[in-house]
Amino acid sequence: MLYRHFFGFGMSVCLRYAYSREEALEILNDGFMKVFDNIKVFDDGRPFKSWFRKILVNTALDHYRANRTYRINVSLEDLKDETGDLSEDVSSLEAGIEINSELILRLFGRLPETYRLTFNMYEIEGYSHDEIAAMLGISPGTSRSNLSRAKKMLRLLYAQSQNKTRHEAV
Amino acid sequence: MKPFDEEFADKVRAVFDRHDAPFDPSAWDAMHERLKQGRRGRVIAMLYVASRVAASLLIISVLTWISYTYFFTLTPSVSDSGIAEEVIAGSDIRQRHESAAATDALSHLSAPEDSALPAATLRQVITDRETGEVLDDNVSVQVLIDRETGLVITDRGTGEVLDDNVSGQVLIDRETGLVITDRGTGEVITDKETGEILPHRETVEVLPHRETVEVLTHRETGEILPHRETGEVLTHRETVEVLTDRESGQELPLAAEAVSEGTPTKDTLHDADIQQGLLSHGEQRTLPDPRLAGDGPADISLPSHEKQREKPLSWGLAAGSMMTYAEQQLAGGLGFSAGVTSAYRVTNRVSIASGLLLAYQQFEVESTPLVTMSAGKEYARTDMASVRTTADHSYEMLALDIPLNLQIRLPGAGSGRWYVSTGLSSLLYLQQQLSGVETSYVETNYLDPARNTLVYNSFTSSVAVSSNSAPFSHFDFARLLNLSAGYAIRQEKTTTIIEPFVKLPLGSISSRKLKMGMGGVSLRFTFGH
Repeated sequence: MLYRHFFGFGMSVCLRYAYSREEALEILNDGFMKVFDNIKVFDDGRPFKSWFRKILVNTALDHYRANRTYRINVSLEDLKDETGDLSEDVSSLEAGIEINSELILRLFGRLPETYRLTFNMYEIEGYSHDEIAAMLGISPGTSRSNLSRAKKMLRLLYAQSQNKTRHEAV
Repeated sequence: MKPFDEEFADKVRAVFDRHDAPFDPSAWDAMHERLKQGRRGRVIAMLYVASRVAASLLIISVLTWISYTYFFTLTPSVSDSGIAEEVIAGSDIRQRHESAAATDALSHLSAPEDSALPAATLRQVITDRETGEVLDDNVSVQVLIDRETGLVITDRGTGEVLDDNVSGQVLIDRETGLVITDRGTGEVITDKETGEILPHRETVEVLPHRETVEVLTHRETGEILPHRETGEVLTHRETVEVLTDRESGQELPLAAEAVSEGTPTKDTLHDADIQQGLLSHGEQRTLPDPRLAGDGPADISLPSHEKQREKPLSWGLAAGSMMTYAEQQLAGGLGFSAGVTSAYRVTNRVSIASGLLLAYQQFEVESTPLVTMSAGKEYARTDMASVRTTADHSYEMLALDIPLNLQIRLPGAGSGRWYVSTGLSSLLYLQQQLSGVETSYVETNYLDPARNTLVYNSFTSSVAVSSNSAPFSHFDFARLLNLSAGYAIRQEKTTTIIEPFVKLPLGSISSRKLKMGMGGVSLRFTFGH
């Protein structure tokens, strides 16, 4: 029951940290194993979801540490080469942003993992740069830089996706 | 208009807050398979823990052995012998030499405390959407607390903290755990999920609505500003929790349990937190407003807020063993110490640690030079050429070690943390006992007038000595310099710390004015982070 009830919530967290649904499932199941192993120490007076979310984030970070040497990331420069100068397009998109979970996951899937982690942890989970630095083993300055680059890359990727959509419509 | 990045982040947050992936039965199958293997996994986990304990013991043993073998040769501290000037008369020496040169031992344990957890450094800054001015916004969580038990009411099925912002009442079916809301009459209740009208199965306590009133003020002018979303006038930096009777609307007194320290209301950010380094300066950003997430208070919990609840003060238990050196000698025998430690987290990485440790050491030092004296050119008049006294002393000491250390955590990731610490130790002696034998080698000479030659005589004399000092008769304030480097391994609620250390003398210590130091390894368990 617990698994079924929190499956959706857990997946929404894990998908943000994984490159694929399979990887997200792996993180989720690892997280659930931790939950089942430690359910006795869970404080009933605290919200379960936040405890569960914290476990999932930490599990995702464990996955990141275990697999980071196998990742191939796209650099910002590569992305610029691929998309061209989209600064004007980006500014024109500020009028309204239409995104859904599929698009976000697609955009996240193209971010280098450290950028994606930093963006997630800072913007979604609410960690500070010092906390992120401690958890990822980087300096707070690097964390800030990663966040800035992640945002820039997301901007470019989003603009790229919008351009593609427009071309298809034409 | 908000910048693209900010709006994009808001959208991403909103999408994920709404996102709810459908249940995948194949995922559960995989999970079920893993659960089956759980028993075998537990055995492996136990073996893993056992191996860690064994490794810790091995490390301590090796470090202790290394300290025992090499330590004192690297850091000897030799004091000048206090020469007791004596006139040796006859062949018996019965003088007690209160010399400053001796060897002593004392057990110590340095006690820096690890705050272990990275301190929360979230600065929550919310800007006025219209003016752009920075405002203080106290994000609060509304929870219902059972007035009798003081517990937060949670959905028994989901574990979520429940609240009812509309009616102010939450009823929980005691049998099914489902949430049932009172529509106002108290008689007709419906299942929150299905809408089905349910009979009132038993007397379920209707709880008054607990409200959290937020107030915003302009940071500089102090002017009260309306809440951005609701337009309510809010007060500055205070979260006022009010229990109101739903029917009469009158305020009710808060139950004592409801405002206890353990109640998980994450509602305030105080200046004190900023001063303690919980909130870092210089970052300005807007956090998701939990009231807009639509996912209940369970989603509101932010890591930094959780850490905010962690007290900066932590305590622990410590035990260790060490060797003592003095007068270029390593004392025979191991000492040990045990006690309590505490630490106050100043910033993310810096803590001030102290403690109270009972240290005991019994050791022996052989052939310690006590007195060396030579007549030199005066031999013709004194008839004495030289006297040299050495001692074989046995010491037994019991003292309270009160360290005060500055502890700095080194950057790193994972569950382990390296840190270094330095500080000073003060010693309050409970027992100082000395026993042993002091031996004097005396050489005399005289001029034989018959043969007109210088005649030398030498002899040896020994005397047993013993002395006791009264408890609390001596206190050495900040006479030992503590240096240590430790490795902390964090578990669920405790942190295990392995810490090699040395204590270097800054002056003579103990009633016997010894200049001695210690080195060893301690093992600590701290509670709280």
